[in-house]
Amino acid sequence: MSSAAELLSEIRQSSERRPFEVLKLAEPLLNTGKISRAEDVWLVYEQVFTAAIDEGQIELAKTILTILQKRFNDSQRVRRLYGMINEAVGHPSEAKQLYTQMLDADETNVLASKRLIALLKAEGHTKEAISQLVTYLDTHANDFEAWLELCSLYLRHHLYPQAAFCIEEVILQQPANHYFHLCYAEICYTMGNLGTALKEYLRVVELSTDNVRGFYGVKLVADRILDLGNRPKKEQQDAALGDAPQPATLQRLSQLATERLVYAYNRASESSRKAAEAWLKK
Amino acid sequence: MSTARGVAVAAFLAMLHSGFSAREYLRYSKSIGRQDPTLPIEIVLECLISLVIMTVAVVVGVGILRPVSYEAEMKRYSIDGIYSRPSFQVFNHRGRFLRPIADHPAMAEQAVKDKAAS
Repeated sequence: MSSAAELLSEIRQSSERRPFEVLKLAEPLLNTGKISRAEDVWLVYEQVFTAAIDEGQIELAKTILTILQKRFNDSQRVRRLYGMINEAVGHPSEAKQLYTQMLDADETNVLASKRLIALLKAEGHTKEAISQLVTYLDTHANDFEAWLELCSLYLRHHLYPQAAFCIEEVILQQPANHYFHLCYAEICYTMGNLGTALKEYLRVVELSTDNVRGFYGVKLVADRILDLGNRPKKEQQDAALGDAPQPATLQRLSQLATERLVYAYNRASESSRKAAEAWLKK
Repeated sequence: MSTARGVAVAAFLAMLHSGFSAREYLRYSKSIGRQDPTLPIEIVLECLISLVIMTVAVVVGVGILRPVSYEAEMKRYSIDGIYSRPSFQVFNHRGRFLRPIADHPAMAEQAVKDKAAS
């Protein structure tokens, strides 16, 4: 097993979108035919396919699609890839037709309905995409990826309470994943929901040791609550504090966050350490 | 690691041996008509000690153990991966123009066209 295949599988499992690296790694495998020796060869093909259309290498994508079609004759997953080529070359209506056909044949085809929503998003019809996604989530309420997508679509329209609701659903499904708590905390902070934001930032640093973004959040929220007394009346009334801790506790939290951040930046480069220290001293 | 595996195999054989001895001993006591036979201490000790040795050897020989905490597992994921939502990716983006021109079909084509136009 070559290390290129291992790296590819690592990228695939992380589900990060890194088409340039994927193609660079896969090129020698494709040229020498070594790819057929990998144990998850079909997954690698699909990965390279997506990377290829991401990078606009439509010819390569078509070659891979023929290989996949030969192996999986009437697979819905492979038909969807054909629709994705159409999307990439700018024929959204053909892609839409294909996905609708797939849905006519099988209403429960998750991949096709997700592609239809993505098409709406690509065409800029975010509102329709939102309403379609809401209908989709009525049936597939345990699809956290769709909840995240709905959250990001709501955020595009600055609908923070709705976005917060979506993230809450995701947290219900994966309560120990600190990235979702982080997103929720940031949305709450933006809404001025300071009490919840502080709790969620603290949850982030509890679940992930020395999480820099989490400690920045703790410091920002704690300082903002402490500073509320000096702010205009309106802002004081708007801030939802919930059951935020006493000022003494807030001060200690802010101090703790500063201390951990200074520690975290000890390993960073000189310039970024100085910038962070200057900000923390304010 | 291979020594540990060897020790584990040896201990396993010893355990098999103790089982075999127990069976032979019971058969023997039955044939001489002894009532309520109990196993001699050697056989019991052989069985227990080989079990302990085998357990330790298998755990040592399995290689580097991965940390069990959820946090260590989460370290493998990045925020980009968690938020990437692969089934909702859209493809009408500028990706095809981001590669260097030299190995780039779309841009090269465009360059040829531009040259022809000028």
